[in-house]
Amino acid sequence: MRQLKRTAIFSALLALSLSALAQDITLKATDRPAAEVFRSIMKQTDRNFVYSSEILNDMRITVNAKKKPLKKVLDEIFRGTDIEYTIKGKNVVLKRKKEKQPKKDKAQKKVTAARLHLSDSVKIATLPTLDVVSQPENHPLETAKSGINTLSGTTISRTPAILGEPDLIKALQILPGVSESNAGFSGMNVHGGGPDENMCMLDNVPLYQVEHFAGLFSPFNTDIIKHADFYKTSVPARFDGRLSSFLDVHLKNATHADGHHGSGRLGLTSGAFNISGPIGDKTTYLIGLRRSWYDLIAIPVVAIINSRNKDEKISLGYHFMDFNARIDHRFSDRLTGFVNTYYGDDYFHTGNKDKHEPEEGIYYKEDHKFKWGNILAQTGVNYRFSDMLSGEFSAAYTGYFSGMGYDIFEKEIRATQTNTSREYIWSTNNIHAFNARGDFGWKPTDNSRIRFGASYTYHSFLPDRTVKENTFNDITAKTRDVPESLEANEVNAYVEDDWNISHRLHADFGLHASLFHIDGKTKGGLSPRFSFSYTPTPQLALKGAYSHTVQYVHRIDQTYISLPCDRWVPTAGNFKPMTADKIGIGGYWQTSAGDYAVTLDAYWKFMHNIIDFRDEYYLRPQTWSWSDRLTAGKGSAKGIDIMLEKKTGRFTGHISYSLAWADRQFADRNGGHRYPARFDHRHTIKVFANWDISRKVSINALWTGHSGNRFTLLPQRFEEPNLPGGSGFWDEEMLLKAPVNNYQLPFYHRLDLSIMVRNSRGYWTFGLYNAYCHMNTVAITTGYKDYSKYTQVGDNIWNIEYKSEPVFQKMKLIPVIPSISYTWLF
Amino acid sequence: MAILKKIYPLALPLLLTGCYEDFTPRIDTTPVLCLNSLITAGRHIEVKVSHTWLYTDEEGRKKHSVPDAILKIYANDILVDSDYIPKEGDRIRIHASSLKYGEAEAEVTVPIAADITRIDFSTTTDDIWTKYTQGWGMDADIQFDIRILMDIADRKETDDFHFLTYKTYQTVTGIYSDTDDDHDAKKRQGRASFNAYLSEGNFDALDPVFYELTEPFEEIMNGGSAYTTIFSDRLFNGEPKTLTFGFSPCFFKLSGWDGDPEDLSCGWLITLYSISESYYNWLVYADQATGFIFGDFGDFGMADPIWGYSNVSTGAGVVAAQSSTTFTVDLQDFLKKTLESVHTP
Repeated sequence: MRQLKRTAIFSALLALSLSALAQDITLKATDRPAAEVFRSIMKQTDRNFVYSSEILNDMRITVNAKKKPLKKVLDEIFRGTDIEYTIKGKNVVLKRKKEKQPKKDKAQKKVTAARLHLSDSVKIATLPTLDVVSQPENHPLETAKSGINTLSGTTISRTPAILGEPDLIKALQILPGVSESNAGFSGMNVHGGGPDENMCMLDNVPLYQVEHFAGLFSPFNTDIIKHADFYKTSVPARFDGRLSSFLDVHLKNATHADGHHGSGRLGLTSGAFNISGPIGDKTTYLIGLRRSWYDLIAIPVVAIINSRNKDEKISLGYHFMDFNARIDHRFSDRLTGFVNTYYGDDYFHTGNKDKHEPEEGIYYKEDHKFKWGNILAQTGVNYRFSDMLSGEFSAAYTGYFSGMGYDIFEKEIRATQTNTSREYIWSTNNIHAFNARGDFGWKPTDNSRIRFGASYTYHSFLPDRTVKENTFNDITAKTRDVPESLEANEVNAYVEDDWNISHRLHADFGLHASLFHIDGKTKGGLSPRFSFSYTPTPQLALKGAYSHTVQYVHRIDQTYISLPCDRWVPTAGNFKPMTADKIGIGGYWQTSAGDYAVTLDAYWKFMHNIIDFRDEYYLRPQTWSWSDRLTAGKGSAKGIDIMLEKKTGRFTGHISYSLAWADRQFADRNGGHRYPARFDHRHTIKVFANWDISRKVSINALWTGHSGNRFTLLPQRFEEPNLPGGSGFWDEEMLLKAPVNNYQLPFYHRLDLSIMVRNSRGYWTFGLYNAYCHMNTVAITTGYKDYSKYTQVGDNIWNIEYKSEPVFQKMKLIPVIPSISYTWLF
Repeated sequence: MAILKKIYPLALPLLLTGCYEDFTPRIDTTPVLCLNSLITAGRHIEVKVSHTWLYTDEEGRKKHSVPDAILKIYANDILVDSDYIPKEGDRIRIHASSLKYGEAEAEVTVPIAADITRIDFSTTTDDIWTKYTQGWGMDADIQFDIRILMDIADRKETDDFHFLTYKTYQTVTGIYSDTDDDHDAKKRQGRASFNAYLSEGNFDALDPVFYELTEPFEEIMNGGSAYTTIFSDRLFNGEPKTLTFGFSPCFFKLSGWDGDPEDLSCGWLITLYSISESYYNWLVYADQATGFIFGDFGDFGMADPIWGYSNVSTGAGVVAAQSSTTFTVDLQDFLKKTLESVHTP
């Protein structure tokens, strides 16, 4: 009986397998990208393709099949290539054919393994999630959208970066239309928008604090990134909440077949360890940890200082860290689930204390702490209702926290009595957001893909709360600011359709609706989106797009770098939601072989109700009301981005040029007059090159040049009023007001280089930031130029005249910075 | 800036590898008139007219007066002459013109002095030491804290701004703490052995109004409570206000005292200035300009530069106004009782 049952099961499986193999396919493609052809097969067979992008190497396919079995079609496709396929269950696994060669020694086998893991753009389809079969590569010829980029983990890790720290945001900064807010830092301005107008998401959940170490690094652990989708012109209707761009970062999936794998990286500034693999047959996990070393480096330095100081002991430390963990579980072929968490923070502390408590006298101790970061937790399920309809349901918490303060303790020891006093202050700023959402994908026809969904988010904002405690002996006086804590409810809904109207005409249109209820008022926004692409020839696409975006939360910064005093605040009071209308037109052309491509994007962006500090905002106390310090206004940006790419071969890269304008106008800033934005870079040129010298060595180079930042130069002085209570600060002179951003800093340029050398266990990365050491001007300041004039007035008698002249000075920072890191793969 | 000492070493590699390059920016600069004046109720109006200069213009820095300036002063929209004595509540408009530098104008209202309805104080003796020598008199050291309560009747119809100042005085020696007098050298005439000295201690900013300008970030970077004695009525507009402050630890040192109570007459002279908004803004600006964000970050191009506050039409100069109320906190009774409780000569 048992034998009969086994036979029956085997027979059923065989029949299923044969029926699948025998499934007829109709397919006609002439010199089309392999990925496109595979997707067409997926649609007809419901199978996944599992392969490494390295294997395809921009392969293009010509095939003509009418009602042919899958196997025959695949045979035809891969005939004459070095690729072989196997069908395992629902997956078509592609591999490079094994070369006939003598026995491989162990070292060679390891090289192969290392190479496979380096290519982290492996499309894994073990868990049949919704996006696997339809994950767009956003090829410009295949999508109606424009201004979209998908970066793989490999691309990110190859981009040269300061201190050799691979960085997603810096990889985006090499794209045309994206500029760095500060040289070497990870803040970015996209098409004339502010740094807080970019939404950074980890698997579709927003992160607020996207900068480590004052903005030098972004919080994404690049070793575990599968790919990142970046939208800067066409914005899908499923996204809203920021004006300028949307970045959705997706983490790698573990595979059952590969077992447990990971990497460890050791660099000058940080280290990372990542591991992923299966747990049983249905579950996979991914864990990633990145942490900086600065505090460890500081330990011996501080120890030396403390050993030389008999009386006082100091403490000093800084670190940033990122922790990611993700678990995916397959309940059935239709249902999968996941849990995803992230924690990242920056922590700086310093302090000093007397080493010994005196018998009589004062004992002193003080500590300062700064801590800020993000925490994220998400869980959800994907369910395939039918071949045409699927859905994802998730719940998430995302939070931003920032705290800073000090604790000072003093003990006064006298012969008769001892007094203790303590002064403590802790200032916090945080956001809590709880989100529940449902997203659906529906394919009513092969030519249409409809997405729709809705979400609800509860926000709690605490822009500022400061607690102070003053204790003298047993008496404590505690003061606590009345915090302006604000709660908000946000509802979003969207629908979008990616429609192939004809073979030549593609359209993507949608609508996003949002409601934001805060402070007893409800604010709303309707955000229509539209993109089209017309392909008159297989190599050319002409594109157009319009998007309206709404932003309810903004960050107010007093400085240009990321600090814990930066505050995320909601659109409250009399302020209206920030909105932007963006129109883009452009085109994409590539050679018939796909080796070279030219992209052109022109855009006009109009921003409304944007918020910034008003003139002399510092005259209004922060503790009184932060909203009194702000003013609303408008901005505009326009420009054109042109990029020439070489996409295939051992030498790849691109050259881009951007011509751009960006300005701002606020009622209470610059006297109400329009002024150029700080990042109003008229001309920007970027050259990025990647040369694979051999299988072991590759060189990457990035040259960036752009018009200098705008700067408010205050060249005139006036006599100070010498009023009691404030005189004596400025050598009896004060700075005369001048138009905002009235001066343009000199042209900025630098070259970054990196070399990647692979070995059997991993790879070395050597980097040079600002390779030719061009010290770029970051600010204009004032100083004095000292002269000494020697005049001979007699035999061996000289008269020396000292003179000091006031001068303007260009302040130049960041020289050449070398770096080295090693990544171990296992 | 305690914490800065530790942060600067972190940025040291960046700063050491940075450099400066002298240059002359190509930017249009047209000098304009500058008006500076502090108008005090009951005193003649003085206005200083000057012109702005380019930072690199050394001549302009040394000589920036405007001899050909024509000055007009209006009190409540009526042109007045130079003998006019402004009074509280006057709206003063100053207009200056020059052929070379154009025109400038500013207006300010002379504030009405704060209505202080009650002043009270209490003292706490922390430590006392005395020694009596026949023929010499008494030597004493008294350490004490003082807490002062001041009731202010605020006007609801106006935004009021205040500036609290203080100094110690000693009737016998005629010494004021804001002068450069040598405390030890100045003795009561005819009594070389006698000396008395009051040390004012630290100002205890016990009232929230002294912290209304405090930015938590600045306070933390400073490593200690950052109060100012400049405050507005934002926190108590139109409501009776009891302002609380004090001094600690205070020291009164005495030598060769013969028991004359008049010798103990000393204390604090406390002045509450009611100041114009322009004066208040300028003091706030002065406080902010030297802070961490505008002072340190601004110097490195990491924050917007901060320009000098001005309420003059050209953006140069400050026309401010003030009136004041001064009161005395006299410690004679407290010191007399304290000394008598220990020893009666």
